[in-house]
Amino acid sequence: MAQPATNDIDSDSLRRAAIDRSVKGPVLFLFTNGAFWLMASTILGLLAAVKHVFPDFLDHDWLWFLQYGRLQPAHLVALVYGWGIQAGLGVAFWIMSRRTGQELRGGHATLISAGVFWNIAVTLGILGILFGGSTSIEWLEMPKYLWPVFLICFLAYAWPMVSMFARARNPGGFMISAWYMLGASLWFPWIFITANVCLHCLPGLGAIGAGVSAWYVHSTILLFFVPVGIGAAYYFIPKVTGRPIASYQLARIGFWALAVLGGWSGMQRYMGGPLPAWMPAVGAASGVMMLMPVGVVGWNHHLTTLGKHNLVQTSPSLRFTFMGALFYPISSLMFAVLSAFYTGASLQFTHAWYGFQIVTIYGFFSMCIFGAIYYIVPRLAGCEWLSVRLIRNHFWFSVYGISAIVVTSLVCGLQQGGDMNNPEKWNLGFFAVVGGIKPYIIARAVAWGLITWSNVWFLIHLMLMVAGLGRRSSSPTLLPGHDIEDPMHNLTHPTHA
Amino acid sequence: MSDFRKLVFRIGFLFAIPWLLLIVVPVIRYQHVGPVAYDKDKDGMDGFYPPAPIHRQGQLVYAREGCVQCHTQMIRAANLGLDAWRKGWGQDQGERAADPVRSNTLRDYLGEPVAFLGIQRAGPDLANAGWRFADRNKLHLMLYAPRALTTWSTMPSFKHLYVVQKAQGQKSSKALDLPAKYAPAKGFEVVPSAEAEALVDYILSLKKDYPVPGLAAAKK
Amino acid sequence: MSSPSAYNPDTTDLDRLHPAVKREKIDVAPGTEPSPMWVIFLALLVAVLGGSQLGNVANFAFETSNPLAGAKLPDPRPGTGGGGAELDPMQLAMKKGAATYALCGGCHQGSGQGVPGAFPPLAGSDWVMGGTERNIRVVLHGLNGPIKVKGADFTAPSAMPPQGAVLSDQDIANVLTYVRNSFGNKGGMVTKEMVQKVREAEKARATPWTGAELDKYADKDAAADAPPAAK
Repeated sequence: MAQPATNDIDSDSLRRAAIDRSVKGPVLFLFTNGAFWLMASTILGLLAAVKHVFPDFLDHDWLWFLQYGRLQPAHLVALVYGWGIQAGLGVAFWIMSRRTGQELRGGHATLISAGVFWNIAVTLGILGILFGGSTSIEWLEMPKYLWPVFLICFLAYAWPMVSMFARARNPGGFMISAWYMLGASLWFPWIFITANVCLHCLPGLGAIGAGVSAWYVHSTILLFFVPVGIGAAYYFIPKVTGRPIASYQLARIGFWALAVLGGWSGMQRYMGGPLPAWMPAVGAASGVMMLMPVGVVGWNHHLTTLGKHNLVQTSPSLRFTFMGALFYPISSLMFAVLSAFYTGASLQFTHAWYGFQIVTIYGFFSMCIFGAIYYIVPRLAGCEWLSVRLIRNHFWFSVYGISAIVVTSLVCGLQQGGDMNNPEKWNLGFFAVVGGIKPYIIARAVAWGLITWSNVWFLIHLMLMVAGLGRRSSSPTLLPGHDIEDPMHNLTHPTHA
Repeated sequence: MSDFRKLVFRIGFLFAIPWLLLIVVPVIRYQHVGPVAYDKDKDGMDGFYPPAPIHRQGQLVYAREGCVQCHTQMIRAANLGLDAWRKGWGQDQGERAADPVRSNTLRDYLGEPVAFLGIQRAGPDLANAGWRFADRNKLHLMLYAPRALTTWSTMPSFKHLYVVQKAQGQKSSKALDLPAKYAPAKGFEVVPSAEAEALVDYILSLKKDYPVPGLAAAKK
Repeated sequence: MSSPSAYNPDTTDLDRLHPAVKREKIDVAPGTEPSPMWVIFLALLVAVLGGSQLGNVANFAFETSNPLAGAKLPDPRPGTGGGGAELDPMQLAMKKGAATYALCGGCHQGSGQGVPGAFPPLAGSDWVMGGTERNIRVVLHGLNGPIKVKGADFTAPSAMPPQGAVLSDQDIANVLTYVRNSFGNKGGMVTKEMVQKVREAEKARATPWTGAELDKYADKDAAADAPPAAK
């Protein structure tokens, strides 16, 4: 017999409302700025893809800085720091305060200031990359003086989250999402400090430095994006379906497996290279073994949503979260294929790596975050989402775009790797490679175009909500589905029997 | 210990193990990695390995332009890819090199703040570009107008690293020899800026195929 | 848990202020059944797969980047190699030429049919089957301006770019041999010595040819030595 948290529903609701009110400012600030950077990043991604295969496009002297070598890192920095970490922090903060039942008492000004400085740092970072300050270190391309700003702003959010967790009084079974958010708050600063100190403060590290840089990228993915995404899924799937998480034991196995495996990955990016041989091997092993926690979490979510697929259709929040949870095993499979020596050697130094980054950050993480945002914002803004059509637009164009990127980057990677490693072409120039990847990069540009389209409307929709211009109603904005439980169903679909 | 402290301790401990083993210990050990002397008897040559450092100023320009997005600097082990056998990717620039190019080791990147091993290969590997581009002017031409040399190339043009200046009487010795399509207006010439020269110096300093002491003997 | 503030209708009127919160479902504790056996089994399988990646490593030495360094590895390149069967030079040229043709196919099409009005066909073309002196020059330095192939006109602006800087003599010889023996063409072989001689003779050439300039080479074949004997 399932046990509810408390028996006092009204006081629960009051408490939740108080928590929502207390975190409203910082969380909405992070979401809005994040959405803006997401749009900027998708536009940069589109431009980068076009410039990759048509380098003479927009070939004006005053646009000299629009080159693939600068656009691509700017695109990824905007995506990771402008959107990913910022929106992730917003969601993590809200979930942590809700799950621990702690209101945010004071410190709002600090949080908003930290948010402002974070965005200033992202802006300076991207301008720095575009105008000649890039360090060319993957995911740390912003000029090197910016990293302490990022760190302090992140800690400004991480510290209250950790202290909320410390004061929490909920029984263990309800804290799964909170563990993941706690993990992310502890892991990311550790990873960030390590990478930046090693690469910017210590004397020359040569090839070991390259290893640290690769470790940084993988660790940020596995120990920030993955926990925040899964934590959100573990919160919202039971919340919206009203069902419990299927298995507490599986949830714990999943969490601890991630905690064990997450920090070992990264060096397999440079397999066959100058790093001491055991490092890529250990990274490859961890990359393959990640299939285990992913499978476990996926199975747990699957069991939780069984029989509630009508809710997946109607609830925007659940729809996005479900899709994100679906992309998680897909991205993990790509990760395993990229990491293992046998397959990874053909995909090394190809577009498959970029595809994996995007599938994880956009397909899995961002979809879970969108699901969270569609749930959280009405509660903070006091109004409901305005337009079903905009939500559907956002959903479907994102799905089309990200599916296109998954498929084209994998196929392109296989093609590129095959051409690079083909013994028949050992003495020929790279024209086979260059010609072969062109159609896939064009497809990628189109995909980013679709995603830009979906996110422009998302940004507008979000800004309207934050301005309080949403629907004044006590019923949620639901997508049309064939939910016979929906009391509005007959009124909105009069022709159905 | 409260549950919270136990949880944080466990999370911290589990992460500290890979952090120490993969990052901290190798970084410390790397500080003790230095050049190795060749043994005149066994290796047949004198001096130290690696013999020549890269051009650091030029590496800054390389970083700023984002060359790592399309070029790698890492010859992979032969069992993982074709790098070792590709024409012109090593010291031997002949039509058909007899031996495979050796895979790169830690010491090949000695002296570099961060080795730019590369993100993707949309263009050839540059680990041994110093031998491949013997002609400095050809390299300048490649940077200024890549499609003048290879029509199918998608390499961006680094025109902003070059200065179009009025030809003062005699053509400058550093002026680029451009085909008609890319040549400047009459009376003007294209001259590399200091950054372009540094970048070319850097690329020409990329020579990572010197024999490894001890292994050279094994190859014979 | 926070206690609600002193009674004030504005802060506690849930229906008005936070209807969204009121309709939230009750939190329910997760299920406590143990995990199914097959999950453990699959997890072990994944661990085995992952562990197999460690097989590559001989030791944990800091200095070892490549455990196979110094080992004698088989030469995967086709042609003369460690004991591989030698291909007939014509077959080798056809094979290499086919790969190099990827460069040409963009305009002349994979079928060699070209695009009417823009890119001349290579199939059954009088130019291709004509003098090799002309063909070699076209590939080396490019071709501009109106020409007539198989009776059809092909005018500028689609000029053929020069390939002399990109392709070596052997590459040009291979691709010309391939083109002269494919798409229904039946011609002889072009050797790298022929290309070399033409390249030497036209060393001063910096601009692409025009149709008129090449007329005098239309029937001339480059001096061909006997194809190199198989080594």
